[in-house]
Amino acid sequence: MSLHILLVEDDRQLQRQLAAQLSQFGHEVQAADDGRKALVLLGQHAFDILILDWMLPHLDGIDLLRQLRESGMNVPVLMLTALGQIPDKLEGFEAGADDYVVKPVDALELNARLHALLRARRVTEQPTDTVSAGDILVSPTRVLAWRGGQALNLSRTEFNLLLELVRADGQVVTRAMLIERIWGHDFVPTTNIIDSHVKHLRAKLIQHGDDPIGTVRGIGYQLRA
Amino acid sequence: MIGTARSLRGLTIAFLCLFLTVTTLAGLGTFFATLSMINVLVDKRIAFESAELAPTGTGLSRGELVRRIRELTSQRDTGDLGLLLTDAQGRTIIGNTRFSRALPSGFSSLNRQDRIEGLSAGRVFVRDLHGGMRLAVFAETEPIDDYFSARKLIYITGFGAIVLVVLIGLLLFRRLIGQRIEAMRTTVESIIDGDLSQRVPVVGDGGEFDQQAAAFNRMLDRIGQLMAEVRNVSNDISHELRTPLARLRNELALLEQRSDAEPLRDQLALATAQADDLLGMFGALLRIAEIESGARRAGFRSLDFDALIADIADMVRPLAEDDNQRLIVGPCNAGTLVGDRQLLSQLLHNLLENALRHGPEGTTVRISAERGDHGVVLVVTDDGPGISQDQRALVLRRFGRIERRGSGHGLGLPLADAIARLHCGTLTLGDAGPEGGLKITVVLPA
Repeated sequence: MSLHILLVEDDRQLQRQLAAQLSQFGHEVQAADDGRKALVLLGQHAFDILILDWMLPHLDGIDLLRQLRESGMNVPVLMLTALGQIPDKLEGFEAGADDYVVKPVDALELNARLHALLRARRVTEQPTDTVSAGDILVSPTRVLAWRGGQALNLSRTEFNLLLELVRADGQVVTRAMLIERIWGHDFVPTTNIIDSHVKHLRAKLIQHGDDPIGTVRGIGYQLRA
Repeated sequence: MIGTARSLRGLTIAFLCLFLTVTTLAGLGTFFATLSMINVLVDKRIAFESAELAPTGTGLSRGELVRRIRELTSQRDTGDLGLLLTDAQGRTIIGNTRFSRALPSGFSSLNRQDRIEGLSAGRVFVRDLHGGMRLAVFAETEPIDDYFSARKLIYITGFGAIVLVVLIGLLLFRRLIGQRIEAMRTTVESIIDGDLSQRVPVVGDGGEFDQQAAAFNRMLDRIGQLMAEVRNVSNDISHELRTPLARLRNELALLEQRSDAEPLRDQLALATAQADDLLGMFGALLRIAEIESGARRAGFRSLDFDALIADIADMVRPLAEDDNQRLIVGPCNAGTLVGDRQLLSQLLHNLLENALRHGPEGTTVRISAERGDHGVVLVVTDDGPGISQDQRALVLRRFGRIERRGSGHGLGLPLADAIARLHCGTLTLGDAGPEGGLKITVVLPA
């Protein structure tokens, strides 16, 4: 899926690198290095998504976001923040941000979140009782999962893990995203806790067919379509 | 006395005791000195009157004596003066008073029990004249009725008022000092808890206490400034190193994706992973700095600590299973406590992960929490190698790893320690049992 992205970042080198990396994923990236220029570009083009640095010269990221929301612009916004700004983070959500990535930004993480963000926007429009990917079916309301019509006996964590992977619709789900969504934690464990949980889930899934979980080294996981 | 006088309370009591003793002694002293002074003056007067009536060695005749006494009582106001001249048989020759008992020669005191006719208590001077005659001159020492008890009352109220004023003043003084010291203590305790913004209140009277408070506050300003500088330096280092490191990492990631990088892809991936590791270290350092700033206290909420333990135990359990280790969640009766959910999760995670990672295959790790006198007591024990007494301080220091091999930044326990301190709690390392093993106890005030 190719996205039209506006990247607002005042660190020129980071801006260049991120633009190059996002282009590698097939996105079309336009960049601005301050809030005012971003406003001008937003007036001229329709963007699928806005990547917005918190600290910007002239017009702060958070103020820019407030202006956008007040003027009724509903473009999805992913904010880039420095570490250790938890109170600010809440402020950002209140101002209308959709998601966060803590700097330094990893392009794969960023890309995974961009897709997840757009997907989440679509999903809310069409709620269903079950979600499926290939021969895997998951019912979030009944907390049950099946593969090839056979019920899977999963722990709560394994179930949540599978649900996130299925919802991602073949896109990459990063470790940080899983930690955030399954446990609600804002720290990433130093050890391979996620890998360990995935290993257990995988063992249960391959009882009913091939291994459906692909590992994206150093980043996360995706369901093979 | 000196021993107890070291405290403010002791000093107050010592001073008060001393003051009461001196005041009582002074009161009694004055009372009796006045009494004897009156006696001396009265004695002088009656001796003078007696000598006037019958000068020594003149041997006046009985008739002359009677005449002089009569003249004295008629010419002068002698209402408080008693005169009595008796003969050798003790019979009255002349006088304006009677005594109920025989009096010895010289000075003596008479009181109300002696029932002196027409007079109250006083002193009498008896002289033996020639021919067995005796002249007694009496004068009152109490010019008015109940003078003695009135004087007692005056002394008691006078000195009592002084004692009362001093007592009230002392208590007020003590309260004032106590309050100012208490204000300073409260400030110091807040500062110990990490809130360096607290200052000792200055009343504004410019007195010694205000000067002391101002000096103390200036010292705090200076300490705060120095702390901020140190924190800024370490934060700046972390931030400033993180940014170029992130650029380097991104550059490596970009290279890794290039089609012509195929022969080097594994090495590039390894380099990227190493850069990620370094970034993780800076992340942990910044996290500790964030915790130590105390800013996250603003977000403290009431939370179910037992449920949190169960959650984190579930989260790390696969790590144990992978290494044939056992994770046992013991009795958890901590209930609710007020804190930061994210940080307490990280504390629990770090303690369990640390125990599992450093324990060999087959290690058993136990976690339990109870509500003790001082709050929630969380205990994590393992039957692994443990940490010797002399190395315990080291592992709580940043980068204080014992073993240089293996994973981990050496920031896990310092981070957990910082989280415990943010919650005004403590983290201590000990022995799990005689066979070794590490026991980590975290006390969090509930």
